Amino acid sequence: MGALSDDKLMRMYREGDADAFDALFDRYHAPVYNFARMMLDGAPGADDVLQETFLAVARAAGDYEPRGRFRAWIMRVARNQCLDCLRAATRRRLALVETGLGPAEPVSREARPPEWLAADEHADALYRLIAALPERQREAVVLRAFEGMSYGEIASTLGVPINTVKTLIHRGRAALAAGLEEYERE
Amino acid sequence: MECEVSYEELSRFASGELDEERAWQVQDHLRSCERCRRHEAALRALDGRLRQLRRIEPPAGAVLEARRTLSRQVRGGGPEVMTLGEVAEFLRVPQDALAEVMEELPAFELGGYVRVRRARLVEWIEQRERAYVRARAESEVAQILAGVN
Repeated sequence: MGALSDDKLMRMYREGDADAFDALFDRYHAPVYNFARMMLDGAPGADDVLQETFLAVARAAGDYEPRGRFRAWIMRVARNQCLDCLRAATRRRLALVETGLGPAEPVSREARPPEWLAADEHADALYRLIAALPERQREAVVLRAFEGMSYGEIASTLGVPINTVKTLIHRGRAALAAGLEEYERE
Repeated sequence: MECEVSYEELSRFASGELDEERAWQVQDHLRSCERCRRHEAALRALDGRLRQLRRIEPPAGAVLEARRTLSRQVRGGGPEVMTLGEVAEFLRVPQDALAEVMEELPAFELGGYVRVRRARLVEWIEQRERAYVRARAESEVAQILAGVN
């Protein structure tokens, strides 16, 4: 099924071919997981986002319009799952703080899974800078840098105009480059 | 003194996204501004570093768990080949209602048993959906024309 387009696989799945859905999972589970990992900044939840994204895709397959934008569509679903996950984590943290049962700090650097830690210091610094970007900039930069998505695809994923995407990406890149300059001076 | 070229604009320049005139102006500015040259070099280095960031393979356990859950969800929807009773249940109509459409139902016969493949049934439903929309549109046009006359 490797040569079939995403739209064709979705159509086959809608017609009852479960193998077509497996092929879509094979194609997109790593991009979805990596996007979630970057968006959640190494906090727990990327595994759940992976599963919930594909479950949501299976449930909403009937609503998908086959216009060659499956990647943008599934990344939008993944993004919504990430936002739900972040909101739930915030609620949990606030509840723990209110009841005096837990710390007010977000998940610490040490809590990240080992695979998060980069091979060299520069890459690790870059991961930290990406994680510190405002949410929208981070999403746009990650989709561009990791998934090689076009501005149009990112606009479709984030639900914003293309010019907004360009602004988000260039502001994000400027912040990252400035951060790396500072890191190298230290 | 504040520089006339922002870091963000340098990013657009480094990505080749400025219009020609502005790109020339920035190019010209770079000759005389060491700070902007440093920023531009940092932006180009950033592109290289972003390319080197590794995409990791999701943990095998997470992938396996997701596959298991999805398989239950995706394949647990019923058999690939259905009896007429299952077809009626799938369509949420009484089994008697199938008698009316028996001739066009994409069924096959094996040893006296009539069966329907789920995938063919879904295609058939889509054909009927299209026919229904067409018939409704034609009916509306006919009503409009009747009103005109």
